[in-house]
Amino acid sequence: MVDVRIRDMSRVFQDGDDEITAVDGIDLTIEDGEFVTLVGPSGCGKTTTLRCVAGLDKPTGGTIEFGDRDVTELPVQQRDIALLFQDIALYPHMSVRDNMAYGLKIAGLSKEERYRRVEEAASLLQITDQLDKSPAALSGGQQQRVALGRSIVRDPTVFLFDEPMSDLDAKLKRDLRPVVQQVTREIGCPVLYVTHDQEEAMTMSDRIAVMNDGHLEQVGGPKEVYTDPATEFVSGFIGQPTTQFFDGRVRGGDGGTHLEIEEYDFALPGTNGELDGYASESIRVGVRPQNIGVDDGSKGGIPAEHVLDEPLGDETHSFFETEFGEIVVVTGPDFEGGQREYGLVLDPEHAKLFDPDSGVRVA
Amino acid sequence: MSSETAGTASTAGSEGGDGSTGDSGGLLGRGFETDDRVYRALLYASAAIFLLFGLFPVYWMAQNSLKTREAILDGVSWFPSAEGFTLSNYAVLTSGDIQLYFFNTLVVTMGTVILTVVVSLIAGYGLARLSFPYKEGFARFLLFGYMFSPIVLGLPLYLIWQEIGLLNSRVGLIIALTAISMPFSVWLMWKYIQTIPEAMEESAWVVGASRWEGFRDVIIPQTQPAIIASALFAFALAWNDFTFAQILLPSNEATTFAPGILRQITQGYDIAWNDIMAASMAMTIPPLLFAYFLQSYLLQGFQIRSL
Amino acid sequence: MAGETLEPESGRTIGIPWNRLPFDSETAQGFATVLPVILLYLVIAVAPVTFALYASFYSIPLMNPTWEFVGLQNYLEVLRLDRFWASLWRGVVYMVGSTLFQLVVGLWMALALNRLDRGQKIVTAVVFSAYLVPIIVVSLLGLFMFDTFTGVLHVIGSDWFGLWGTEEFVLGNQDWAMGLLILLGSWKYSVFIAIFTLAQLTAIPSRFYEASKVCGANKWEMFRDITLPRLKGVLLVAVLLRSIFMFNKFDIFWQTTQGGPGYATTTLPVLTYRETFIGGSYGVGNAMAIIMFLFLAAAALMYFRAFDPSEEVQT
Repeated sequence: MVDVRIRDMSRVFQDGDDEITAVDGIDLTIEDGEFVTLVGPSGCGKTTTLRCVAGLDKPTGGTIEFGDRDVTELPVQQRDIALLFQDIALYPHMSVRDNMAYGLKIAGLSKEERYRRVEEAASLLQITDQLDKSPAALSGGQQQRVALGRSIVRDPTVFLFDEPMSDLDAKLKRDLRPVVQQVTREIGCPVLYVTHDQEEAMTMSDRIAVMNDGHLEQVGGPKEVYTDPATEFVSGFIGQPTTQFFDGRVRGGDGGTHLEIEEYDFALPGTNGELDGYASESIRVGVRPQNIGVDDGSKGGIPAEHVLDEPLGDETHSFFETEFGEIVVVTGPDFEGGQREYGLVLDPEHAKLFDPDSGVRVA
Repeated sequence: MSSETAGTASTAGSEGGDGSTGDSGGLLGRGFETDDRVYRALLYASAAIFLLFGLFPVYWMAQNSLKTREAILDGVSWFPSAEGFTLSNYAVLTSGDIQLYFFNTLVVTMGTVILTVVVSLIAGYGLARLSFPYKEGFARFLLFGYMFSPIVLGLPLYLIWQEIGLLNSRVGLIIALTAISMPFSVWLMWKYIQTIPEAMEESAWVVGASRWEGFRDVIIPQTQPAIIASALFAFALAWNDFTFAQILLPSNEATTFAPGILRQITQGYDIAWNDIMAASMAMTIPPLLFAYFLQSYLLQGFQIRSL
Repeated sequence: MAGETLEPESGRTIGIPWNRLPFDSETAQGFATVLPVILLYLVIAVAPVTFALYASFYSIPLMNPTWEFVGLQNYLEVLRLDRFWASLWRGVVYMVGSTLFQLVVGLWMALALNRLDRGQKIVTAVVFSAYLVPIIVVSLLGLFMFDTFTGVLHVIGSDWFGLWGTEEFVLGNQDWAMGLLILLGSWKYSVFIAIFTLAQLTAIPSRFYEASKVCGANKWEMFRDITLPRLKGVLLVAVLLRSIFMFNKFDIFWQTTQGGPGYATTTLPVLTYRETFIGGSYGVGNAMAIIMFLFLAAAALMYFRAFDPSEEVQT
């Protein structure tokens, strides 16, 4: 039984005299059999983190442990990991069968044993009839299945994914996701899955680690990071369409705490004193487009001019032009704005408040 | 009408690159078909001219290599006559000094090709995949190799080689020829290996392959086009070499075809045009075959920008 | 997420402490991969040029190498030689003539081959093989075809066009020799420019031409606005390299005329070879080699200015 423990790990790149900190002291533990997704915008350091765990890169600080083994200095060859790459990296000069068997060949297994294991993996992945083809003859989705098969024939102790689906189209992604989950569950080792696609992260993970600018913003279950974001960044990054942000001000006083956004006033539900330090201070307000209501404008909502609708079938994304700029609202499937005037109503119940300087969630 | 046609011709001709600058004004209002016909005519005429100038010397060499000495001395004739025809000229390839020269040329060429490919493959891999300082300086240093002139270098090398015993040695010539094939080959390998995704190798390391195993199993097979291209250029260089061999292989036993046969001619040995043409054919056929079957690699080699 | 505490003291790295050396192992490996190339350059270029510089200050009879220091005397002697200046001039004529001829023919070949839709492979093979055929074969064919008794080109020139007399060996003619050698060499080396250009041409995406066709451009306009700008850089490098190579040409001269008749085809490389191996004065020869090397160094500077390798090194 193995878990992966990343402790205070940093990676600083040297560019001439400049130092670029890609990963800035992160801590993360992946339990045995746990599927953890590292998600974040491009350049946030997630791939660097994964490459350090894989051994393709070396951290400049901190340690990485697999179980009770410190692997920080261990070369990639000795880490016994599996890694799926974004550019699938099947060898064009080998058949699918030999691609999958290559690791076993390096390990010195006999030919019969190699091919027996390949057949096993192939039947699990339903690519048995592709084994004698050349990788170039396969579709992108099938190629990634082969790459998956190449990884599992060796029964790795840690499974890593580096945005393996970002070059595939949406339908293939959906087809492949359950395959990845099935395969990793079968092997039952810790999984670190790097992606910039929050949908992938939400649907596949036991826990999601949201990364930004070299830091971990939040680590938690998919529902937790969605409903209970720890920072403004997480709130903005997770969820579609993205959370709408406003600059507001907290006003204490008679009848509870109030939130002011420009001239609009919202009574906040009972708080437990989290806002005490923010009285009369400015604050960032995040509201999900799902929690913004649309009415005809007579009830004092934010005046908004409808711009366009994106009907998605079961719901519609409607765009409005307001004094705060463009605001997206999730409306019902039958909503048709028709470029008319509306009032937008924010639901203070679901508003998330963030410290304007640190971005940390306040309430 | 005729002047209009001429205008079109010059326009189309400049696409053929004969240097005359056509004025595009004459083209207005002309049907595209006329334009296209003239253009195609010039294109095929160009191809015909290339074929004529390219093939005629080879044809001349071939047909005279099949004539007896007497038939050649009879004067210019366009085909071997029945009584003047012979295959015996080619016996020159398997006897005497010419055979020796051929053997030496083969050894030197093969040695140069192998050494060039090995050295440039390793250097190209290092430049493409390993990070180390002074790469830019090395790039300059590498390209400086294009300035290596056999005559400038051969002169001092003559006494140096003599001193360390490499004069008249095929190894000495192989080293010299490999050095001057370096700028092209290393640059080619460098740029080519850069086009192979790093994930290819990394995926091999992940499954336990060492750097060497990854290089052997993943990089080398995929670098094949560049290997063929650089082998081809090393071949062209070594097969073509005269100056280095003339200076560095002065003894008759050690020398290659080019200086050898020239020596035979200038020293007025018993050698005649029929034999020379047969020997020349033997030097020409491998390039002809390579040019036909490997031309895409030749182009590929030059496609990597900047040599 | 800062839950874990207690960092265990891990005893790590056994053996060579690579990360504590002044350079890391990757740097060492990197240098090791290019070391053979550097050694080759040292042995074949740096050492000889240094040696030549050293030898050029000595008087060294080739047959009996006794070294006698003479200082700059070899250089003074070379610069006083009329035939040095004459050879330099002839070399420049040969270089400029050859390069221009090859540029025009090579460009023509490349543009035609690129557009050829039928028999492209065979025509390309014929053209390319000219580049692979060794220069000795070109020279031997030249000697044979201009031979006064058996030469087909001799007959065509004299009987068909009356360019020269029936008894006259034109490669031994003061007026013809240099021009013919330019043509002879260009038969082989025009292809160099053609390959360079063709490689670049095939790399131009056809959508560029389609886009300009949509705008109504004719063939000349397409050539001027799309093809030529794309070729400019490549042609510059090709012309520069060809100039350098042609200026250093020795083989074709020695194989056909050996610098003759008289000195009519003696260029600097030929003169250097003659002074050294026929004249037997190794010191003077090396002084000439050094002078040629200086020309090369100047050319190298131009080359690096025309094309900056540092921009290629990244990525």
